[in-house]
Parts: sequence; C-alpha cells; structure tokens
Amino acid sequence: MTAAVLRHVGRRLAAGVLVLWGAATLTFVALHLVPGDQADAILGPSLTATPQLRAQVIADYGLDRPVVVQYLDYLGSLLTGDLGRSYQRDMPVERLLADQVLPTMQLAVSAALAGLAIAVIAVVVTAASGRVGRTAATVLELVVASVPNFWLGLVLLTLFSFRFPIFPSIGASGGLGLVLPTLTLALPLGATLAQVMRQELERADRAPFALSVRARGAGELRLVLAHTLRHAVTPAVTLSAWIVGSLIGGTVLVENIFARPGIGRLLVGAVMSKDIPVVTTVVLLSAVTFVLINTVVDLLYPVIDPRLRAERAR
Amino acid sequence: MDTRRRFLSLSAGSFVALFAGSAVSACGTGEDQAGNDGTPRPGGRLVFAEPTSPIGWDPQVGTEDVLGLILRPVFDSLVSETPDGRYLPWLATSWTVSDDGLTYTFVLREDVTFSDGTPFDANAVKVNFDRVVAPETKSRYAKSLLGPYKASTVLDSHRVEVTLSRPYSQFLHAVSRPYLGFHSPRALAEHPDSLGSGGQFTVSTGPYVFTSVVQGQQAVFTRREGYNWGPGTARHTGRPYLDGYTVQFVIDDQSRVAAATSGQIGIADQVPAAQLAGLRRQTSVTLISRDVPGSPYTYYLNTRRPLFRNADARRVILYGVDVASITGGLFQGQYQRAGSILSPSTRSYDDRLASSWGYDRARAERLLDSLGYTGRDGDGYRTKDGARFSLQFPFATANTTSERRNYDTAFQAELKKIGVEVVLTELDAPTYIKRTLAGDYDVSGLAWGGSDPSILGNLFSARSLVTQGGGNKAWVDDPELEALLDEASRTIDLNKQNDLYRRVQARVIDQAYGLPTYVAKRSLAVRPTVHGLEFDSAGWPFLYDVWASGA
Repeated sequence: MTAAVLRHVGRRLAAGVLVLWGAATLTFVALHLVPGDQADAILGPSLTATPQLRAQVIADYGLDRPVVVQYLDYLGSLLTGDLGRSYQRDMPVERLLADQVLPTMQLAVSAALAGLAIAVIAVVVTAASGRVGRTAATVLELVVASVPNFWLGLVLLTLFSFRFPIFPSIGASGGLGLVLPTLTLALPLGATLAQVMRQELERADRAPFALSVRARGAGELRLVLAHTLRHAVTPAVTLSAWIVGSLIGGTVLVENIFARPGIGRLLVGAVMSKDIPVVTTVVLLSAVTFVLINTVVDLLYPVIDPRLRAERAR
Repeated sequence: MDTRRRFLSLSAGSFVALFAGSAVSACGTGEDQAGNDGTPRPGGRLVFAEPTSPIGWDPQVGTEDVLGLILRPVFDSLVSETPDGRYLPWLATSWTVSDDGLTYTFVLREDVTFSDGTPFDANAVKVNFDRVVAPETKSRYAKSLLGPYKASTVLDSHRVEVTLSRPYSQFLHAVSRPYLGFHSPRALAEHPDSLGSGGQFTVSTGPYVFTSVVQGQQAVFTRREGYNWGPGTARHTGRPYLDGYTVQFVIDDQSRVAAATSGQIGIADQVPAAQLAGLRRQTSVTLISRDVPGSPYTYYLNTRRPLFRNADARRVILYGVDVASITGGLFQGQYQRAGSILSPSTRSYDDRLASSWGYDRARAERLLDSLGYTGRDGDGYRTKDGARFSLQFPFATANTTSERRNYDTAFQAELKKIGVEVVLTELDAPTYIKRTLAGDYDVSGLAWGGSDPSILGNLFSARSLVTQGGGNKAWVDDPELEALLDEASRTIDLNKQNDLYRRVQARVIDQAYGLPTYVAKRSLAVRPTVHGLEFDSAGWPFLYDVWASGA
C-alpha cells in the first residue's frame, strides 16, 4: 500500500471516530426528546410500580441528575469501554448482546453475498439472451424487489418448511437454518441490484470499447464476463451503504418470523422501552459497520475500476 | 377433582412433545391416562414455543406470566396449591398459622439441596424473603405477593417463622408461586447482579436446572440429578420424566403454530382464537384449551370522573354493550362472554352472577333518558345541554394485543348505536402511564391474571389505586366493598372466603364499576407424543409429570 492510501485510510478512521461520537450523542438526545419519563419507560407499561419502586429506579440509574451530567457520565463510560447495563433486562449489555451479534452478522453477510450472486447470475444469464428474455427478467425482478420481506419469509416457510419439510422453520442454528432467512433477505436485494447492474451493463455494452472487443472476435459471454460486468459492479458497490441499511432493517422482520436471535429484534424492544444503553450499543455497532464498509468500498473502487487508479496516482 | 380437571386429563391423553430423532408416536389418544397412555417412561426432551420472552430471568423481580410458566420447574415453592385452593406439602412438610393470622411457621424438608450443592434450610428461606422486600431488589411482583410481610425468624436449621403486620389469608397462595421460589444463598452472595441474566446464573432447587439462554430466542433446561422432593400435587415422585425441555420464543403466531403442526416442536403455546377452528380439524396436533384464571379483560369505568360518579351512567355501559355477540363474532365462537369480574376457572367464581345482568339496549336507553341525555347532535350522539355523552379511552400500543384492539373497536361501535361516543386514543407507553396515573380517562381496559380470588382486592380496594402500584383503574372507593375485601383477607376458612369473594363480585356488577367482556383461553397445540400433561393451579402446563413416547 502506498503512503497515499495509508493517509486516506487514516483520514477515514479519524472521520469514523467523529461519526461514532455523533451517533452516540444523537441517540442520547433522541431518546431523551421522546416524550415521557425515563423512569416510567424503565418500569414498563404494566402499571404495577409502587411509588417506592419508582424512587428506587430513579436513584439506581441516577435519573435525578441533570441531563448534561448524565450525558457526560455516559460518554465517559463509553470511552472506558463500559457499555453499561440494560435498563430493561437488568443485565450487562455485553452479556445481552453476546449471543446476538454473530447470528445477525452471519445472516447479513450471507444475505449480501447471496444477493450479489443472484444479481450477477441474473444479469449474465439475461445478457446473453435476447430482448424478450431481458424484458421478462426485468419484470420478474421488479416483482421480487417489491415483495415485502415478511410476506416472502412466510411464503418460503410455508413451502419449504411446513409443506415440504426440507429446512427447519424456527430457531435453528447452523447452515441449514440459515438458508430460508438468507433467501428472504437476498431475493429482493438481488432483484434490485440486478436492475441497477443491467442498466449499467447495457450502457457499457453500447460503449465504443465493447464494439472493439466484439471486433476482435470475442463472444458475447466473454465480453460480459471479462469486460462489461466490471462496469456493472461499480454501482452495486456504491450502493453498499444502502445494502447494509436494508439488511439491518430487514433482519428485524426476518429474525421475528424465523425466531432467530439477533440485534434487530433486540433493538426494537430496546427502542420501545427507551433502553438507552442497549440502543446506543446497537447504534454504535451499526455506525462502526458503516464506517468500515465505506472505507473498504473506497479502497475497492480502484481495484474494480482501473480509471480511478489512474486518477489517484496523479 | 372438579369437571375442569377431568376435562383436562381427557385431553391430556394426547399430549406430546417432539423428541430428537423421533418420528411419529404410535400412541393413540386415550380416554384414560393410565389405560391407553401406558406407563410413563423416562427420557426425551420437550420443545415448546412461547410468543414472548421474559425481559429478565429473576422470578423474584419480574412480573410476567411467561416468566413463572417457564421457571416453574426450576423453582420449587414452600407449598403446592391444588386448583380448588387447598395446600399440600412441597419444600415445607407442614406448617401452622397462629390464631391471629399473623404468624406462619414452616417445617422444612431436610433432604433438599440447591443445584450447586448448598443445602436448603431455614436460613435460605429467610435470606430470600428478605431479599424480595429489600428496596434495592426492585421486585415488581414477588414483593406484592408477600403483602404485609414483616420478618422471617430462623427457629432452627429447618424451621422458619414468618410474621406479618396484618392478617393476610392469601399468604399460602403467595408462597406457592414460583415468584417466591428460592435462589441459592451462595448465588445471592456471589453474583447478586446476575440473577436476572438466567442460564447458569440461576441456581435453585427444582427438578430442572437452567442450562443456557440466548436472550429472546431460546432457553434450555436439563433434568436435575437426584431430585426427589416434588410437590404434593404431583402424580409421581422421584426424578422428572423428561431429560430436559427447551423453550423457543416465536412471536409470529403462524410460524409458532405451524412449527407444531409440522412436527418441529412439541407444543405451541397461545394459539390465537382465529386459528382454533382450523386446528381442530388437524390430526397432527391436539388442541388443549383452558380458561385463563384471573380477571377477564374488563372496561373499567373511572368513578372519579363527574360523568361516572353516577352509578346509572356506568350502568349505561354495562347494559348498552352486547358483549355476547361481540365475543361470538370476534372469536368465532371460541371464547365465551364473561359473566363476572372473575373468570370461571378462578376459585370463588360466582356462576349465578352471569344471568343477573346482560345486554339490554332498552334499559340503557331509558337510563340515558333519565340522566338527561335526551338531545341528539348531528353525528347521532346523545347530548345533555349540548354536551355529548362522550368517553375518553386511551390505550398503550405496547400492552394492547390485536385481539383487544379489535374488541375495543367493537365496543366503540356498539356504544355509538345508543348514542354514546368513545374516543379511542393510541399512546406510547410513557404518555399512557402518565395519563393513567393522573386519572385522565373515562374508560380503561385491563385483564389481570392470577388463580387466587384475592386479586379482587388489588382491583377494587381503595388501597390499590393505580398511583399506589395497584390495579384499581376504576378508582373505586366503596366502604361496603372494602369491608368485604378486608374480611376475606382475614378469613382462612375457604368456604367463608369464597362466599365473601362472591359478594364482592356481585357488588362490582351491581355498581357497574366495570364491564367484563370475554373469557380468554390459553390454547396449546400439542403433538401426539407428549403424555401426562395437566395444568397447575395457575393454568400452566405442569412439566414435572410430563413424559414422552415414541422416542
């Protein structure tokens, strides 16, 4: 790696720290702006809280201190790596998250890869086929991309778990249990990516260099695989932030349907109960993921697109 | 046993679990437990699915029904309760109550140990009860169960004396609940901050040990070696039959039920009413339903509001809503109309009360006339001096199920027919709590679980206002009712107590403090390989006696 690249990565990481601070601060502010008392949120809506219990909660969590003091205290403990204790579940956040992070990562990564694979295969296969095939593929992609995740998940479950018991339906760990949740997320993702990639592929296909490749006598498949597909992948990489976002959003629903452990499900419950330590930790995790992915994507551009390599060298 | 119990054992003939590697059980659905089910055999694991997960795993802190259900086989109690309200030995072999009802002396079994090897003794009882009432424990439910608890005294290694500050006849009921089970004193000393984490941090005396937990996904339990101190209500002694059980949390109703019908799990709990009829036609699972004990979903009418200070205004609601047809329509005939403020499966239920009141539109309209609401405005609502008969009904998204939401909407439509407006307002939990504590509502919906009729005290005593952490959402302050509740709380004789609680129910209906709606059922879809399943006094599956076939 050259010094320029290192400087670039350093700048990105410094910016990343700022992003994390911003994310933590925004979370804190947002959860405090939500109407309603923090102590009531911790106690939950069941109304069985005696005044003494309420007082104890306020004292234990230091909710009677000024908000600024609470904020600084909270930032301070974050800096020392102390994520705090869940308000709602009465246990350290690390313990709560320990079993949840990995399943979500597994699901997100496998869905992202499967989505990309689906898109590439769809684009390559249809590129070689005629106009009718492409139109049919486009319509199909539009339908799949518009299907809501939870509905797709239920259809897959009904077909491949309940009707034909090929895959386990709920709570399964291991590779087999990952198949249906992955497909639930990957199909709409792949369909969307395929549309973007096909557009770019067709543009590249009309470019002068494609003509010259054809003139050298290369077949259509070789043209796509060796030349134009590269162009088509660039917008998919640019969309990576959107992909991560849609995966994080999608896991919430998918985790519920398939009863998988995961941070998505945890986050929903935590937001509802204003569980600041948990929400903050999940937000920070997501922010770290975004920062890392953006940095990696930045480094990937020149690898995919040689023109950018030339630009940066100048 | 009463007819309810008999019905349950009939259905239990076909109760089943999924066992690793087991295909299908050949065991038929027997009418007689001992006859067709064969001899209970040890081994196998049961997987059952629940819709919700407890938010914490310390039964002395949490409140949820599902928490008690899941941890019942982990935490033993001092005494065990039969569904008709009698008490049998468990960790205590015998007990005495002083004549003034203020002192309970328990003699404990001497062979009981916690799963970490610590012996269970009088001191273990004392440190646990003392912990429950300590403010820093922040107990939400167990503390209220202990009621007027004053102190525990260790008389000798296996005799403990509990003193109360006032007579409290439901004390034995309280100590029969898993919420007043016992943590190992060593666990209390070594990791007091981790008792809510579950898994290996939970150490108690029960027939199953809490092995591991993935929060929000599943909890795994394993048989305790050497367990030999089951409750007097059990049908067998010695080791529990199953090697273990796993609870999976599946929010989605369809996924949960289909996992059972497709044979992937043994039991799916909380089958929604809408799926009951369809499942009855299925042969892959047996459906077991039982009324949920406690107080049914009820519309409490805030007696502090000027409008509802008048009992006749409250009676407009009692007689103006056709709960029988709403219930029949919404739940497709699966649930029954509630006839009292207690559900029929609760001890002291007054079965004659249901026929004393009911939908009577003409009577409701006459009451409206007599109250002076004779005008009509443009929208068809009744008015008096230009003001509508209008009711504020706020609710929180977080604690309103879709079943109840539908019911609320039907309630609103029903009252519109007689010219009464109901304004339903959906709120987030903190705002809802704030409004409720301020008494800023006319109608509020609430169901209260519990197998003991003493829950009526929580719902209607002036000492149990919502501001005090109680359930008196109607803000009832009725000396006649208070006297009945006080006397019931002092009365240990079951017949006398039942009679008093029946008079409480009659008074509540007569004064129209609330409109009871429907009797919910807990319905379980069960595979035909689970046997010996009955329900305990709380209406929970009693896992200690469950065994599996076909493994």
